[in-house]
Amino acid sequence: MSSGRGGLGRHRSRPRRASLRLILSLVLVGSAVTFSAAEPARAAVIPTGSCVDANYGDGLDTRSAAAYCVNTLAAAGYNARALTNTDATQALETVGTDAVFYHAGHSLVVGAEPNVSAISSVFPASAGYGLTGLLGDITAADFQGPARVCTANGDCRDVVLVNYPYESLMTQVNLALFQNCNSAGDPAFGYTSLAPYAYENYGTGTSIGFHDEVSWITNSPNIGIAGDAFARRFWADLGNGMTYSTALVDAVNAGGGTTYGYGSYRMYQRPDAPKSLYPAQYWSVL
Amino acid sequence: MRAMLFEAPRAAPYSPRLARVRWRQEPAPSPHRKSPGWVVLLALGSGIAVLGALVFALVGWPAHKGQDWRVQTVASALDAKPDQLDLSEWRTVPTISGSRLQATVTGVGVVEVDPRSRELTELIFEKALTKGPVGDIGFDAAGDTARSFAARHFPGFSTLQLHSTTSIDHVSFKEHRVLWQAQEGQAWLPSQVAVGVNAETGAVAYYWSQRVPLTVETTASITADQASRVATAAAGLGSKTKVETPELRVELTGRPTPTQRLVWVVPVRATGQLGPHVSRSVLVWVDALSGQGEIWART
Repeated sequence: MSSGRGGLGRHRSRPRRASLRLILSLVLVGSAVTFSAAEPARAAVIPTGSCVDANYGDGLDTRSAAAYCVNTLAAAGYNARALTNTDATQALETVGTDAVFYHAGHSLVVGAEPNVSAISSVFPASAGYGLTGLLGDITAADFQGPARVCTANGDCRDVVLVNYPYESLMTQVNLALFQNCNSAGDPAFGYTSLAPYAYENYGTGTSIGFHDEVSWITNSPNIGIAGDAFARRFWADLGNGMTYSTALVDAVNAGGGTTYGYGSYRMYQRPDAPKSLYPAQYWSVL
Repeated sequence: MRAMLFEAPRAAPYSPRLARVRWRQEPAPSPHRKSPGWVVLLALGSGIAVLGALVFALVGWPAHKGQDWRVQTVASALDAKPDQLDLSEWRTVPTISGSRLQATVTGVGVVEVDPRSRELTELIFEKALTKGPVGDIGFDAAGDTARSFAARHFPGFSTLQLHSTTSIDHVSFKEHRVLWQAQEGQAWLPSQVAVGVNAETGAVAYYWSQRVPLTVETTASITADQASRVATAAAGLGSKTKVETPELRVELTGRPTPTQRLVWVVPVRATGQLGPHVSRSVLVWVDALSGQGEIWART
């Protein structure tokens, strides 16, 4: 008579099932142990990034740019920070460990068209100082101290100009973007501008600047035109995995083509350097 | 008859032989019971229907590549069949003239389309963004290549005017950028096409276009000379300035819905300063109807 529970064949399969369960458990446990061991090692090498913007009080207000940069870097696995309206010394804190550096704002330039070279990226006035800067070409280090910053028509203001050596400490930078006037301008008075200087002297993987002056809409951060449009699109594209070269073209088109100067970008890139932000990494020429 | 129905049933006579037989009583067939197979099939079908409805509600009817206008537009631009394209997910990107849909095409670069007009608005060929052998194909050759490409991809291209040709050295590659723009009278309009041609290889590096219906008057009430004077005063840079030639344009401004303005666009640069300084060049807009000047953008 039938018992309804199967015959001799089913009893024989029980040991096999138990073996499979045991093997599966061992695999799962082993994987957990492996990943746990790896986690501390990965956490120790998260690359950092600094994203700088500011309201300079003279109509140039770039305070949307740093957020675009930070959001993209964070999503890409970098430990990024925004520096808004800060003194240049705060950027110096992580210069030796930054994998990405981005500055959106004024630059200190020398020369006159067609040869104008940006020698430092400028930070706005903070307590006790007029202007602080992060110096590119160290041979321009003499340009600091009590100074009068003037326009050609004689409008001047007294400032304390302090340039801190910065690029000399850029040793493992994957990407440096100087969204400043003439940051890739042709040399003036023997001084090399920010982007090529970082590339040639300190081996950044990719260094980007602008040959001409670049503009932002007056007192209008987050307006989606000109400088804001360029920054917004560039960082969004990098977040979507685009290469630096493609993102630049897209961002220029979004930022008004040549109207606001962004068409004059120059990209210095080493053949073996990372071409995009992913995976998050440092890069060193050494 | 009725009396017979209510008679008590007679007991069956006892039979020892019959008593030893174990009757196997078959369950009475129920008119309401369905076979297990039908139940399973019914449940499975219902589940699939519910799941399908849920998926459809969430993602919509999946369009075949050949029926997706976005893919068709890109395929046409690349002279390829829709099924040959490997596209990323589409993402919405903002522009001054409205949102666009952007995607990455494996092996090609980036594409962008306008959901209103269903036109191609950008195409970037990644492989063309590189240095070529030393040499320059020249403006004429670049212009021919750019024109041919633009005419193929911008309906109504013949109505546009050549605005400018610019040679740009990006270090990573060199390009000749050619810009065509719609024009009405003296005024340049927002509708435009730009094509960048790799100056060393002759390949098209990118195509970009914008089509904006005109909504404002294009006849200026003040002259270019008047605009120059207004712009110089508005810039506030003093006498040592260089005022570029004013250009009459219909410009887009404002968010979230861009508005159009007829303005004289006047770049004003400070001159004469060689030592370290912070740039104060400005872009002045002079309203072409009211004559009011404002510093629209600054460096």
